[in-house]
Amino acid sequence: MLVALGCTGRISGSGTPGATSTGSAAGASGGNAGASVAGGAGSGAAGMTATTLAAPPTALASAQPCTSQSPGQRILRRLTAPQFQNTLRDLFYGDTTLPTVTVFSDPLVLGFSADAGALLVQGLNAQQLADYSETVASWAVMNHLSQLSSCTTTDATCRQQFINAFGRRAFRAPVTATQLSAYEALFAAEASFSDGVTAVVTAMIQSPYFLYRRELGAGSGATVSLTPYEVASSLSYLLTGSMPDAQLQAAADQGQLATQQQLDQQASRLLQDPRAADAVMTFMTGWLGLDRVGTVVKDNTVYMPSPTLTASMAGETRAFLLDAFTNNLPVSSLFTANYSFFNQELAQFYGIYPSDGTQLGSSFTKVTLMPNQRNPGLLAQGSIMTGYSDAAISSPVLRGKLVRIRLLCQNIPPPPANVNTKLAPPTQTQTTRQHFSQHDQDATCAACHHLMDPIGDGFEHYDEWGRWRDQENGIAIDATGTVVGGGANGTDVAFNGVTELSTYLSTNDAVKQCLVRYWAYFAYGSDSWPQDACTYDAINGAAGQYGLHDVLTAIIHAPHFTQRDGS
Amino acid sequence: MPSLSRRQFTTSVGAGLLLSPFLRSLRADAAPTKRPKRVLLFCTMGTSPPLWTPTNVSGENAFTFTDSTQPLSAAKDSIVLVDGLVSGNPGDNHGSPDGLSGLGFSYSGQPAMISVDQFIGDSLMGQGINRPIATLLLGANTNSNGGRTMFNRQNNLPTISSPLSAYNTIFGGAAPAGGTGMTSAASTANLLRRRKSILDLVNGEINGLRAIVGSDDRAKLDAHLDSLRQVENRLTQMSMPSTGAGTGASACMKPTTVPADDATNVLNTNLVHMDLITSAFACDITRVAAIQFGSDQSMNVDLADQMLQGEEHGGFIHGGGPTFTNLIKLEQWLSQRFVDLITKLKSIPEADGSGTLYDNTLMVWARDMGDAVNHNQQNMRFVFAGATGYLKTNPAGRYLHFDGTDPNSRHERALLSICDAMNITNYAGFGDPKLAATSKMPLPGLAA
Repeated sequence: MLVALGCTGRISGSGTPGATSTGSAAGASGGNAGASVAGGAGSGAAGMTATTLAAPPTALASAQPCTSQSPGQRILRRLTAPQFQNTLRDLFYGDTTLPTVTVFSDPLVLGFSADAGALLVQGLNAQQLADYSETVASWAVMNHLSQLSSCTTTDATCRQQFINAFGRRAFRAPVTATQLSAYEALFAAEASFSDGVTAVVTAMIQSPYFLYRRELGAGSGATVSLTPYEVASSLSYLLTGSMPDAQLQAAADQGQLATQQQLDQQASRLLQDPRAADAVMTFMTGWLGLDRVGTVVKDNTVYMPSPTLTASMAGETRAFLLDAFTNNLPVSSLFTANYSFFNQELAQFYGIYPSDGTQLGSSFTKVTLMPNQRNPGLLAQGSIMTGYSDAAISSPVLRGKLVRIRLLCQNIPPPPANVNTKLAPPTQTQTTRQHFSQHDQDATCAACHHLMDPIGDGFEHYDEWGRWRDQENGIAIDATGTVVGGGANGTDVAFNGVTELSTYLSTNDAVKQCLVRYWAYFAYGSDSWPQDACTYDAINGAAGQYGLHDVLTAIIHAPHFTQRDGS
Repeated sequence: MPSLSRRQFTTSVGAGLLLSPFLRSLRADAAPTKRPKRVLLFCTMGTSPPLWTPTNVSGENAFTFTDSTQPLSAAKDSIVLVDGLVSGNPGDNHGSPDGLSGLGFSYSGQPAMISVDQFIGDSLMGQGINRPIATLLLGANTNSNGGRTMFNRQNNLPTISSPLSAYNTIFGGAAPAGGTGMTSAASTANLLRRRKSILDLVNGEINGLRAIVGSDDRAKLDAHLDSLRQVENRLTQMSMPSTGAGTGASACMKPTTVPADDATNVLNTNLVHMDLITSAFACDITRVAAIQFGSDQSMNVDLADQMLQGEEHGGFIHGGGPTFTNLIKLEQWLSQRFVDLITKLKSIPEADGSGTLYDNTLMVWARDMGDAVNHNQQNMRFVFAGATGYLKTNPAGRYLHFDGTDPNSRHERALLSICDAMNITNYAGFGDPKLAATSKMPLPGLAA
């Protein structure tokens, strides 16, 4: 069972607001919990009951025991910005000249753009959609009219054929009689076939049946099954980041997504799709914050990298993670692998070359790490070490926080209010570790920082660019660290350097279960208890050795993937 | 300098130079001779108060700008500095939602928290002032690392980051989109008919879906319906040719080049946002616009000219003391951008001959936290500019310091001043419902 962690320990009764927050909606860093539509002028249609938007979570919910066999609530999930773009691309036959998509600008929640509660059509979005859909419809009619419809007459047969065929793909489900009637009326008001198509395409792109993935199920009862079309969408967006392809649509039409075997067959097939790698990396990027290496600003007066260095670092980690996924390696191996994937630039940067003399090029090649080279595993990779550093120095705080939040699923609340958070600037006469030791000298700071900094200290052989160092400012590096409360019964775990920390993480069940929590959150678009407790138990029970592929399969096999609470 | 109470401040500058609070309140209630018709919110994150607070203060017109605010001195005849205001925030902390709502982020009462930009947008619509975009919110990198914007309505609102997206949003819907070959008046009417039909269809679909989903999803769909009402509003205006976006506005220049996205340098993106807001004002596409630089959690700063590279919140603010050299550089840069906006708005004449864009725009530099280093809203600060004839200015500049311990110096009053400037005097639904009626009024001394 996972344990939510509060900032306790060195000071008791500090009374800092939210210091033990585990991220409820109204927690310390929470947003405007309880804000209601009712107060907004002009909001809420006449006669409707006022509704309340839930604030997105600021941390994973605390673990609770499985007490309910409910598979979870029905849900609408707006397509994420990338899914919106991918779906339009595939709706128009993979044409990458699709007009640039500029509609949604979504917040990251828990590192992901996946939270169903935060993916909204709000503010100017409807206007942006209206404008963009006109642009796309004009483009589509100009470039794809013959693919969109085999007939071009304005009679009822032809227009119904078009609306049913295009609507089936756009809505990812058959067009209902009500829908057909509405779109026929829209079409009929136009003067020509192409104008009719333009109007229908424009409307369908703005339709909620295009914009939202429905996970509502059909029928009634305590538990309802999602429709085959809903399951097909869930599978496709999870594994390819886009709409179901023709084969998956056909399987849904034929009701062939009802058994685990049928799901597995489709999943195996979809994972061969070139889009699957990006879909897997979308999760990995959110889980590990891999985008940081490309966005963190560095002080170029300290070091001027080549223009391609950070892209190479990201490429190394992508190759490493996709190799692990493809080969179903256990999550523990991510921390202990004595190899990585280098191109020539990285080999030169790290000073690590293939021992067999293989010449490296611009692509990434598996290279075995020898003793006394870089520490094994993901955490010593440049993308992590660079991304989790400050502009001019490394950051034990960010690195420790990464381990706590993303690998152990523990929450670190933000600093409490009215605390002086001013840290003296680093000097040339101390190490980064010594610089951040200021946190130890203030009890309020230490209350939380003792959970992060002593873990991050273990990474201190790696500078802000992930380069190995034995000294800093002429002072020998001290990479001893402590996972406060990380041992059995809450004892501290001492370690020296990344290898020992990685060994600790690789043998820690909390890390495996944490991966499940984040991946399930990414896959399901929500994280709520208590019903999810049983879902997580089901996934953990089916994940075996926590091979990455097995974890994803367990998420697909969990009841939540195909069923919902019908009450 | 040590903080002066209002009494000390008044005494030090002489009663003749400074209106008493009571008189100020009366003046605030008096009708100014002229009111702006639009608002520009320039939103940056909090700073360290000593870096900003004017020094050598010997009266509201006699003070020295700090290093951080020095660029503002070039426009001192146009601006009013205000500080010492306290929030109604019950909890303090990272405060993006607080800055423009007057309420803390943990506030969950009724009426729901709404930021002043949204409140003004709604109020203008209530007055029958409809522009194609009710409120235009731009800002790069405002939602990474858990960051939030300063804009709220039901929930925290995103800003448009991509310049291309902002461009398309501002100028995309004003005229018939290409590709249909429809250019005549009849064709335009036909396009408007189609748009109206589609709007009705989508509204119907959402209401149909709304009937079968749970309460969480109904709230989502209500937000969607709310968003569609803005489309409806724009369509209504486009049916009336005389008020179409940009028509008759001689200074209205739709940018000829579509700005490229620059994801690698968010501050460059913000510069494009500034230009786009100016164009939107010149074309009278919106009356309420805002730009936000970074968020309460982070802003990546890469300013080659300033030799400044790093991250604002964790780096410059929390890791920059006690000298805050980098934060000062950043604040200087932001100050210069505010002055740039003043200069630019002054250079563009209003289409109707009523002076320049500047004359009719209330510019407000607002922040999320009063003291970012200590994460609180105890000393909120603003810079006001523009709104010629409404804003009381002085050739030597003005600095209004309020005493945070005075219950009358709530920072919500600065927000009410923005409402007042826009001729919105019904504050129901905005701000702290518990704020005493004697304080539920604009800041004294701000208006002419």
